[in-house]
Amino acid sequence: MSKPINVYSIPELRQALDEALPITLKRLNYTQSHLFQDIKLGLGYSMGLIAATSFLLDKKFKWNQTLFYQKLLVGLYFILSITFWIFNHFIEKGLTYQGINKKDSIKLKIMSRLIENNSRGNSNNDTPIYQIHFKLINVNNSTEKNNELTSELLVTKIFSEQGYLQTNLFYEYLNDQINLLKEKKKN
Amino acid sequence: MNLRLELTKLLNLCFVLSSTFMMWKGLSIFANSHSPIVVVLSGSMEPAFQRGDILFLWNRNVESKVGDIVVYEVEGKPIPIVHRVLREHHSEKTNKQFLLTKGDNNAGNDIPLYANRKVYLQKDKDIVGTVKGYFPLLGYVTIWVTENKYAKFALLGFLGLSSLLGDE
Amino acid sequence: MYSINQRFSTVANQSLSYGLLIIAIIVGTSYYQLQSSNAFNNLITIGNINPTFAIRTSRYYGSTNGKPKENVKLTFDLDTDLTSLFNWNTKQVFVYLVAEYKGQKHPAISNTVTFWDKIITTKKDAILHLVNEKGKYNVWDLEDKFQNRDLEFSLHWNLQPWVGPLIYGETVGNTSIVLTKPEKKKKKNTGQEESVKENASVDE
Repeated sequence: MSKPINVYSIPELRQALDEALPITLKRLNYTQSHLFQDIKLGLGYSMGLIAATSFLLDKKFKWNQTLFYQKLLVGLYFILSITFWIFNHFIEKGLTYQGINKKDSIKLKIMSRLIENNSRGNSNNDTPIYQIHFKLINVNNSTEKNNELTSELLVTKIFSEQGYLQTNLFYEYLNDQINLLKEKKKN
Repeated sequence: MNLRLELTKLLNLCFVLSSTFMMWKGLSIFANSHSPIVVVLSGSMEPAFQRGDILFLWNRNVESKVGDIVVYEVEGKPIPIVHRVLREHHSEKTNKQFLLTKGDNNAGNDIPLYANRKVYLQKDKDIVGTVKGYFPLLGYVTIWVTENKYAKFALLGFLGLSSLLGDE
Repeated sequence: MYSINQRFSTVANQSLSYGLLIIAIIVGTSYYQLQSSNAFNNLITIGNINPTFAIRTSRYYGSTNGKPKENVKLTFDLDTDLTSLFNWNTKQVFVYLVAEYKGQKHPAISNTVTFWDKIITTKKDAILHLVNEKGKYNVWDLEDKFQNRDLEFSLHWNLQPWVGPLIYGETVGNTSIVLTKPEKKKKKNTGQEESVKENASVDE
């Protein structure tokens, strides 16, 4: 990450961290699976295409001439919107990262969110927390338990005052958490 | 550059534009009118409607009633007209209806406005919709782009945009 | 950029939802007011309806291709009190006197025509007491002639709100009369009547 960000903006912080996740995990030998992203892109752009078709029909023809096709397009758009929504809320469920480490035969799923840390009365009152939920799945034995871990990271620990993300610190943090989870699994 | 990341960012913009347009289209189909929301441009219905008022139209009714305020289009004229129905004649057999309209603020009826020396409008052919709802003045937001054909859903776009960005 | 955008959308969203809430309250309370003041059942008396007929050949009086068209105009008496239509969401009330009748040659055709209307913008103008009021419009039918039709008169109103849906209603107390020439006979002398009769026979 070469660009500094505005550390006071919650969406910017979240975006920077979410984008740093795959890059950092790559250094830990995880290959990102883009399946969900691709499905969403596919759905999204076909919706865009439908709208563009409808727009062109609207521009080129009169209302009555294309009414049947417009009904079809609006119906299709509606169905795809619902599919997209269902995918987002029930299948992807806030998953930010999904990757596989082939060497260890481990699948890694990460859900992340940024919490504005105002409600907890500790000393770091105004510092947002990046909450990461790890889930490790052994590709060969997916039924095993104890494979989940939620950790919280104060963003001040990995962002400099100028708004630069300290990639090495982030790398170390993620490495530690994943190792911790692996330890937990063994016990 | 990460292509997927860029595409995802572009997708958000694509969503805003496409959902706005499709919402407008959906509303059009729902109301069965190609312009379900119109902005008043003339003063011929004053004091009921003034320039800049927003009207919500409905066109699923088969027949208009006397007293209904309808929006109709005249062949060869780009701007639709909002006037009140003064008379109606309909046949129960053919489902055809003839209408005579007049602006509340005009002295005479609309016969001089009709195309091709007609003395009546036809409900199924000429009527864009019947006015059902009213919101004052907000249409001035869009009047400055009214010459643009798609200014009508600029307002709707604004609504769509705010609702889309709302849950961020 | 992002945070300005976000702030803007939050403000826009909030003002939109509060706006909708306020509109809903205005529309709801004013409609309730109309219902509770019995505004949909205002009584009316219409009477002393006197038609005058005229033959026109202008397009603006309904004639096509110069074919003669019988126009009718009325004078009438009307009494009603529409003050109950005025509440805090009333911008204007448009009252209109209409007549419904069937076609003579084609009984399947139903017609409704307006003879008179008025825009009322204040509550104190909402009490109507009209004597020998002249109708505003020359009325003609799809058919060439208008005589001997059975007309049912009623007074309707359209409430134009400051915001919200347009409300339509009718007053109670319809009057039916048949538009005939004998009504005219009382006023006109015999000579004129004969000429009118001649005209009528030409139409047929």
